[in-house]
Amino acid sequence: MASARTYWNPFLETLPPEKLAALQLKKFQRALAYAYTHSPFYRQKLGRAGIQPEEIRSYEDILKIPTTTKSELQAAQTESDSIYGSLCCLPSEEIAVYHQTSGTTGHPIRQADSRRDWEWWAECWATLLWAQGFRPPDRMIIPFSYGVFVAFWAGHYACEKIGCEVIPAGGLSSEARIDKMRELKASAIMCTPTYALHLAEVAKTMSLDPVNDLHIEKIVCAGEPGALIPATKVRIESEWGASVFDHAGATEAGAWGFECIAQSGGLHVNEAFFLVELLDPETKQPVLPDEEGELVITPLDREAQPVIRFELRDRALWSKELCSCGRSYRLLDGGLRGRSDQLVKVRGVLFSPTTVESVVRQFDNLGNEYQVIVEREHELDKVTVQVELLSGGDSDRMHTELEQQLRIATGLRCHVELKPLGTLPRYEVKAKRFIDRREHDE
Amino acid sequence: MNEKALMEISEQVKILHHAGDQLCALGEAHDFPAMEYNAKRLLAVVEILEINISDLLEPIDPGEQDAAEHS
Ligand SMILES: [Zn+2]
Repeated sequence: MASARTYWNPFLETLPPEKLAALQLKKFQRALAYAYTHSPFYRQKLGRAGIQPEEIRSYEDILKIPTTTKSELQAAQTESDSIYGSLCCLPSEEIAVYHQTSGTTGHPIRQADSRRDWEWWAECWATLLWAQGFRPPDRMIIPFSYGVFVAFWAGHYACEKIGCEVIPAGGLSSEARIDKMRELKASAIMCTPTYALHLAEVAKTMSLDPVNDLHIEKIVCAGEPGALIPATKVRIESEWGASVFDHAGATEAGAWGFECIAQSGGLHVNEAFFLVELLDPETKQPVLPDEEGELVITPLDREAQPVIRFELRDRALWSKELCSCGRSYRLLDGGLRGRSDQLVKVRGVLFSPTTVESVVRQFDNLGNEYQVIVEREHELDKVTVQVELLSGGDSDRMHTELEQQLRIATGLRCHVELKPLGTLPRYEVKAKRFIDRREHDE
Repeated sequence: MNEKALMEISEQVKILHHAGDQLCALGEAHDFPAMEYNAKRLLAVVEILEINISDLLEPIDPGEQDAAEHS
């Protein structure tokens, strides 16, 4: 049951579904017409497809518009002498801020944002932080490097917007961040799930108990999936004694998804600001209501560098239920279910590294980090899962149990390597825990 | 909150938008960058206010949309 001030925008967040759908269509039409008029990339792309914006009058019509891939955006920038290539809709004096994608899957995409876009980013984040119960006088520490990746920048400005004090903890070691957290009595952290676990580990090496010495109440995770993987969520919550909330976003699209304070096991889509479609990757048609599909997204209000029907490559499933929080924004059941471009075939079986995470993080006597290596040995694919054993753990028993559980979860025999605590790589953003060496072996 | 409240908010947002445009133009005309650029910043926020409410004031009636499709 919603109480007063539950919603950042009580009009939009509780719109009846049919009105929300009508609003999305109207905003999509406007975004498409804008992109056609101002973006050389979209004028050409839509022209090639024979699409005139005024012909798009229904959701069925939207399906006629070709989707946009990351490689198209990369090509539009690398083939041009200008910084943003043919993607930019505004003259350079109207661009307020630069960011870029991590470049995990190729050349980084340069993202232009106008003054309005930058306010819009903070607004999207304000919506999600409010939904997660952040309120003044929460004091948020953001242990983020404040560089060219957009990641937590918009979260920072959203905290300012909703009246939560921000501690910008860039340029500090993890130890110094823990000290700052303690000194300033931070009540919340905004970071990747990986880094939340790492910080707890660091606090312990400083002889601090994160739960009793640091008193963090809430953690908002972004930058990578994980906070909705049940075993990872439970682990972060127990390490910190805090509530953990997931959020999903992308530089090219915006901050589009969030877990709310009701924590009903799914991610809300901010449907007043984004049109999200779940499509069959082969046919590009909508999946059936109970089928998993690939996310295709259109931010409905972006100005400097908009995208239309952008393929995120994340897989998701619509929840059949609406959330108990009262929002009419639909939920993606269980959040993001891995990326299609991370699904690999190993010995003929489709293998997702996310599955390994859900197994590894169930074991209390394993550390927070893991690494999955796939390589070719004697003409056969070999999967090795490296984990860290906490001191005092029974290594033989752990080895056997973990191999058994991985076999059940993945359908594959995985070799387990137990390493001493602190020997696997640690990440602040964009953890790279999956290594496929097979291309190099051939 | 109801339709009336929404209309009232929308009226105020329109006034702000107009004032922002005027301040921006005056700042530019009088070589007064502090006025021009702060007004630009104000307008960016005003446009977020519009995104938050104004789109609701001209809703597309789904029935009307269907009729248009089948005409
Ligand atoms: Zn909810």
